Amino acid sequence: MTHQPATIDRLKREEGTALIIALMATMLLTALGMTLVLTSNTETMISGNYRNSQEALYAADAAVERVMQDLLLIPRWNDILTGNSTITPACAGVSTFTPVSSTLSGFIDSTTTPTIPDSGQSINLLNATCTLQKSTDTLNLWGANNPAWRLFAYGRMQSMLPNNTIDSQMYMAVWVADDPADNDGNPSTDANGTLTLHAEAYGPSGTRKVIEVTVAKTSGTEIERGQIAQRGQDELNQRARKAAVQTPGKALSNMQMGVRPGGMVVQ
Amino acid sequence: MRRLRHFLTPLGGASLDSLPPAFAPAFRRSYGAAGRCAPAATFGDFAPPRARGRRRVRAAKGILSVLAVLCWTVSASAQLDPLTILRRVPPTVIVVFDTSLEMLTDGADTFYDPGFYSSTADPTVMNAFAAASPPIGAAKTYRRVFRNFHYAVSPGKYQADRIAPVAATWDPSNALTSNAVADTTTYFANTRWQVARNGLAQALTETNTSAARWGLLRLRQKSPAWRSTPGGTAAGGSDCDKPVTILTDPTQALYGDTTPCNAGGLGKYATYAPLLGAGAAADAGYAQSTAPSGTVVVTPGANNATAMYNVVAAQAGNPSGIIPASVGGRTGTTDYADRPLSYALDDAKAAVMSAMTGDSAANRTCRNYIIVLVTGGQDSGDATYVGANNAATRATQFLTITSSGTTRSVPIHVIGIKVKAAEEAQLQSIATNSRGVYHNVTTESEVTRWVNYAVQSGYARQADIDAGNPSEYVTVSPIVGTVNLTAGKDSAGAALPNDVVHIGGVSTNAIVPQRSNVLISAGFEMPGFYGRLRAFRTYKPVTDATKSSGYKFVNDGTKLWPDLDSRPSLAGQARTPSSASSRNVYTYIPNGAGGGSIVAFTTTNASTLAPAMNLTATAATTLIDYVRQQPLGAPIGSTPALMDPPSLDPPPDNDYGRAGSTGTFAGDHENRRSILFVGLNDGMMHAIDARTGYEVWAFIPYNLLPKLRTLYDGQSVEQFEYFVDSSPKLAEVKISGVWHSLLLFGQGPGGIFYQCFDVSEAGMGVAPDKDTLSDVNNLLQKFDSPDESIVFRWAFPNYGHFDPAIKQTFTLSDGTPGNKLVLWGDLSASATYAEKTVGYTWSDPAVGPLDSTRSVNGVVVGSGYFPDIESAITNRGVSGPKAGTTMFVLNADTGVLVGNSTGATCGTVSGTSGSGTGCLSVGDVSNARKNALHADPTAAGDYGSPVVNKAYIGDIDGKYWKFGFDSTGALTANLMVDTGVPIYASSALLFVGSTDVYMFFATGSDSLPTSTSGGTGTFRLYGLKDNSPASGATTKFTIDLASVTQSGGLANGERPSTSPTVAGDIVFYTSTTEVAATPCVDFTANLYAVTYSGSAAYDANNNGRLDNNESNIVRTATGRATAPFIVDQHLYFATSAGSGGAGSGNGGSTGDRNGAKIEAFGDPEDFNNGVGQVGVRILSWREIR
Repeated sequence: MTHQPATIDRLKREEGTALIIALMATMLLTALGMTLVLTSNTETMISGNYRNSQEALYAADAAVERVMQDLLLIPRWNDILTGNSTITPACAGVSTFTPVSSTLSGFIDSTTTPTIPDSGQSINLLNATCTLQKSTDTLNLWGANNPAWRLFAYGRMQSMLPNNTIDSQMYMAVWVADDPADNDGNPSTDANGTLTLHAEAYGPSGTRKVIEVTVAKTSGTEIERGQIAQRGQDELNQRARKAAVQTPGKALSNMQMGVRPGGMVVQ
Repeated sequence: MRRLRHFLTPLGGASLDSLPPAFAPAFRRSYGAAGRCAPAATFGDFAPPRARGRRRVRAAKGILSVLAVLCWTVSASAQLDPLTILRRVPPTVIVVFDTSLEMLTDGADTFYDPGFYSSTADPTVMNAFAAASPPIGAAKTYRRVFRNFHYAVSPGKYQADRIAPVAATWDPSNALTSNAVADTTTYFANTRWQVARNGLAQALTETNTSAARWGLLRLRQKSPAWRSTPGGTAAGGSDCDKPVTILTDPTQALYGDTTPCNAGGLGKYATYAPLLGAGAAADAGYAQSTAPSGTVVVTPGANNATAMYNVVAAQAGNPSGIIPASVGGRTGTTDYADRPLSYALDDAKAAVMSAMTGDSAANRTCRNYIIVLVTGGQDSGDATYVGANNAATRATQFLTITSSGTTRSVPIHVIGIKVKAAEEAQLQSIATNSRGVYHNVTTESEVTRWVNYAVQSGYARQADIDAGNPSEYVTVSPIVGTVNLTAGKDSAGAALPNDVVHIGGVSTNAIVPQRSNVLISAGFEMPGFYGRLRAFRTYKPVTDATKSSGYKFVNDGTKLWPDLDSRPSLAGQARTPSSASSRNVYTYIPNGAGGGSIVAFTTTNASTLAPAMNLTATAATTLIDYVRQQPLGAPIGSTPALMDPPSLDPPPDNDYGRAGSTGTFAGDHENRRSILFVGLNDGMMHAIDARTGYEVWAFIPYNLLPKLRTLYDGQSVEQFEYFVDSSPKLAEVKISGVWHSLLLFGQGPGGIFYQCFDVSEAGMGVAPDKDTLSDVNNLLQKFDSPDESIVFRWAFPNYGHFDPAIKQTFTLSDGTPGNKLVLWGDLSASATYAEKTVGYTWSDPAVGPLDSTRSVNGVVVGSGYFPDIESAITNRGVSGPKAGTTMFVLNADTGVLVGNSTGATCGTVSGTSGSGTGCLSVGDVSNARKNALHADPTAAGDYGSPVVNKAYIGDIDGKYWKFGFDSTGALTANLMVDTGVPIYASSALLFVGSTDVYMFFATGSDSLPTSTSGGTGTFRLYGLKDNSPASGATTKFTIDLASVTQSGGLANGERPSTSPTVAGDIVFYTSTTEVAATPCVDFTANLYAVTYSGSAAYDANNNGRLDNNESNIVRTATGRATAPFIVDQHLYFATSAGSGGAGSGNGGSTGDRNGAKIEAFGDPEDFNNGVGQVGVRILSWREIR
């Protein structure tokens, strides 16, 4: 009965345990590693989507800012609210659908059916206008003052500045409509110097952000209730505080012109 | 046309008694107590020497006391003289007077013998005149007028068809009959001699102190002399000139003179033509190879207008006067006069050289020399003389006259007096060859006009004269406004590039508005005082992909307003329609019941206008025609105002609305053409189409109608006659629930009325982008009926309280130009107390709602300056109110004082405060200045409220006031600070936060003559902060300008140039510095830019940082600066060099030749910002998904 000790001994030596432990540890590490990889991939995907979402939000906001520059240059906002009568696609449920503004922004693409960069997804902005209009009409919050949306500005983010200065794959579109609160019963006429802007931004992986902004005309600067004693101008216009001449604290640029020959010359 | 001015106070305030005895009655006859402005030939019935029907009788009801002329001398005042900057180096003006015998003719060979003839000394010869018509009758003496008078071939001396005797008033036995008007003036009225003398004398009275250094030359006359008559005491002696052979009168051929002068037989008569030497050929002027003694009658120099006047005014027989004497002759069938103009030009050249040598070195380099040749005909002498001389060639020598190291171009202005057509060509050549002008005239007023013109030419810049160019002066700010330039053209007719641009350059995109796109300069040209209003494109679009619009807007300056009707010389400047009959000129005639109506200023309405002009209908017709034909006059103190379509954004209320909103004020007027309004010293407020530059409407204030006659003899540089020289103010006001565009204006130094028009419809009816001649004609038709597109609303004082028949003349020493003030009409006895407190309406009104509902809108205005002469004025008197120190709050709708409709009294400040209703006087501190609210009030309200409830203004005593007011007319005044130095210009205000009000102004003025009280010393730029609700103000800063002293009548130091202006919390002032010791060196202008706390606002030395000791002067330019004007983030002011200045103009690289230019500041590539007009802001923002 001399064999038991050997087994016992062998067992007592616990040879292979380390291997098992090592294997288990390896498996554990592998599992942990795999988990980490999976987690990292998910996080990457999440962060990518989040980034796209944020980028789209900012892009939509940028589009609004861009449109505001246009609005600054357009004295008659009624021109914007009028639809281009030559573009009248079908839109079920919407009568006299003229989805494109007769006066467009300077920020426009060559097509109303662009393909979203890095996505391959194609969008039809006229159909999108139809969808937006039907949604608005369905809600019918303002009756006769319901906004009549006109596509006003659309294009790639990269096109907003020359030479691809902006590294973004976003695509934006902005629709304009009369401010329903003016309560004039005519969505094609601006009665109170106020507009509603609907901006959408599209990005990779179906990213889409939508914002709506209400903008109003105002004096460029605060209206003062006094004159500046300057002759030659309309009395009331004198009351608007005037913006600074060039940049205070910096040097002033000088130009001269002889009254007979004309021609303003920078000195 | 200031006949009475010199008539009563001929020169330097001299009394009537100092006039030569024969001359004063002459002017009495010619111009009469009512101030006739022209000789009988043209304005013969200006004066009412005889009652002419019932109208005359009614006029006579004005009583002689109303027509009284007064000489009144005061000194306790301080008046601005806007032309002070012009009169720096007065020119030397040398008059060459034709003293040939032919000056005693009428230009048609009728000779007016200056002698008297006894009607009893030679009874026989009187038979020759038995058929005289009118008969000589019982007259003791008579004169002889020889018809078709000529020299005769030897041995005869003269020949004539016949003698037309004229009974004289003079009776040698009765001293009281001497120097009768009929003998001294009426008799000679048609002679060249009389026309020339009187015209020149009038010019001398109008420029009688320092504005010209006069000189007088006569032809080469060797001992000219009157004969025993008219200079002696007897009616002719034996020293007659003879014979005059009568050729055609059969009766006169049967008789001849025997006593006291035997003419040599039947048909031979005597004449008392003045004697030249011994009357031999050797004594002829053309025979004098050198100038005889006395050729220089008055040596050119300063302060000799009186001496020259005395020579010119001396009557026939006065040996110190101008004696027309010649030794002419006849070759074959042609006369030749003894009129050696070539020699005269030689003598004039020598006189110029002598004057140049005698001039001071400081003035010599830039003083101008002008020759005025007054002549009855061309260069003339015997064959030898004519063969050796050519006056036209001589004239070319005047292009370059060198003396004492200085070379000058000296223009010869030729005034031909009734010159025969055949002789005009040479005279024209004399003028042309020397860069002068030639005019053939027939009346005294025309002589005065062209002498005035010649003096004016001496006020062109020296470099311009040398080049044969006029000079242009711009004394008011350039302005910038918006004009529709779609399909516009430049002054040459070329299309403007990028007149319309679309966003991003895509034609289907929205059009980019171009606001503040036109700059207007308003100046005048010398000689002539011609208005020169010019338009320039402020900027032009240039493609720029970095801009949201696709464009940047860069500096331009392209001249606008092309020629449309074959008058290319007027391209680039405002103009009247080519036909005077197309002009829409109106005035207002009160009906005597407080109302009245607009009346077209046309000859058709002469009978209606004549009483208001204090003229007969005939004279009125002539004057109306003359005034209508005049070009635009000079803007001197009137800054134009440009009326754009209604454009307030955001609109004050829904009724105002916006462009595109039909039924609103802005919506209904969005296509209104931009109209430029400017007051000019041609008598009118003008409306000018800003797209084309054509005058479309003009208005002559009722009170200026009597004064129009002064335009007929031109404008004197010294005693300049002002008319509508006030800056128009445009205001959009809601009256009875309807918005209106109102035009309000005073008259500056020209008159004592404010007036208001509704101009809402001015510019409607013709699309704003139309600019053909046909479009202009269509536009003119929109104004061709009274009250059609511009509607008269009111005048303050009421026009019905003006009496055009009053005329009084005052001699002043308060800085009034020429020291003379003529009241061409004044307030009637029916004027209210408040109306009598109105002075010369220098103060431009501020307009605004007085309550939140806009039910009452106020016109807040100061009363302007008035000399201290009220007590001597017919309808004012000692017990009347003093004028000039009152602040008014008028109802914009009616022109009546708010809360004080009767105007029976006004409140008065006591000490540092006071109150009143509708009007309130600040009183007058006892000093050397009569006080006045001369400046424009600057109105303001509380933060966030549209209501205007306060105004700030300084006075001539040097006090700075704050007025409070409301819709009831309650008016209060509180002293802010007392600077002790006169304040003439308005303030700029700045609001910091919701409560702090900062006020900026300057003391003194560069238009204040240094000889007047307050004209010297240290002037300051002030910055104050209103202590409200506490009293008074805190001085935040003062900036001392270089102290001013007087030297030789010129300022030596730095003075402010009108008012400051504010932009971006920074205040800008301009100033002018003059150095009296170097009058030929141009002024310098400083542009100050300081923060509201007084520190430097810009990097003046351009070192890239704002240093602690940074200068607050950001620009020093050449010339005199106007007030700064700011719009669209750019600042503008104009500079004009003085009349001195030896340089070739200060246009620098622009190549400007005349020294007037626009200085602009701001980013050259950043115009059309639209800031201050419209913006877009976000009201709400939400994320949908």
